[in-house]
Amino acid sequence: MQSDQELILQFQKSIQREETFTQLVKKHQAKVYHQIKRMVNDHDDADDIAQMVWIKIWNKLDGFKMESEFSTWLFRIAYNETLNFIAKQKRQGSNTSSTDILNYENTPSHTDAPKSSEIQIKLDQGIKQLPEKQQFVFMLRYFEELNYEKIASITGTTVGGAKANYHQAIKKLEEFLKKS
Amino acid sequence: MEQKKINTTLEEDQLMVERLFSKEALANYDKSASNVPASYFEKFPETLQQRIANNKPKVFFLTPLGKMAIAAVFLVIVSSTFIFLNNSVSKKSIMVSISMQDISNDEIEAYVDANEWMADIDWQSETFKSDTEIEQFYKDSID
Repeated sequence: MQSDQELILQFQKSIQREETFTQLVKKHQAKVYHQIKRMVNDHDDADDIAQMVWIKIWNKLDGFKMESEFSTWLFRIAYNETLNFIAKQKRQGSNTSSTDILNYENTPSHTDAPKSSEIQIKLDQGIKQLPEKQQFVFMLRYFEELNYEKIASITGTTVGGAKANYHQAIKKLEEFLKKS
Repeated sequence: MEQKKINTTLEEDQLMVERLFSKEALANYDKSASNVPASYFEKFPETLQQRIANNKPKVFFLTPLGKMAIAAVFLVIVSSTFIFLNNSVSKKSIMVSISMQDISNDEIEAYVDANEWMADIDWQSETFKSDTEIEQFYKDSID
């Protein structure tokens, strides 16, 4: 499989642009989609945002200078698009996605024990009450297992700022659990 | 103290969350968020290419005949606008000259008689204005 850098160079030299771009999409689409879905909880919204992200990548890939990793740039665009989408939804007054509780029925490890589902619901509610930036940082650190340097580049903050965001998120989750 | 707390490894960071919620709950959360319709990722690149193609601005390449046709239409619009504007100006001037000719001397005299008092007021205000200007001139020269 070709590296991101090789694919981007091919794209920029206009060598089979569509095919090259499709290869890039196939390599990264799942990670980008999952990160967006964790934030908006709705497949149609996540799909729409993901498409917008990739259209922006298509339009700007010619000017990409490879000063950062492609995946960092991709996640940064995904971060901006997702936050813009959530802000737009809030302005329109339809905050359905942030209050939706995730559907656990299709998950194989789901058990019928009430205690387990209660924890599940609390976790979902706890994450949803976090500010969007803290939510994003939390997901990138816990689920994507990214280092703080990369998280800082994606969210446009300092490494210290990214660390503070993650730890504030944990603190808020802890407080939420105590209250509920 | 705060600095020590923030310099944590990935494992330590993950453990902090798993102490609050179970590891299983967190894994379930991620699996639920990752649920996608069947063959979504297989179809996604194709859907995306179609959307990109639809978003591309359309470029029209004109044949020489097409270019000449557009130029002709442009010329017709410009010339017809010019002719229309010229006609409307000449019509206006004719209307003014006709209307002045149509007024009889009697009518003009009647109008002047009726509005004589207004002319007096205008005259008085003009003379008053000139007097004050002269007074001001004298004052300035004395100062």
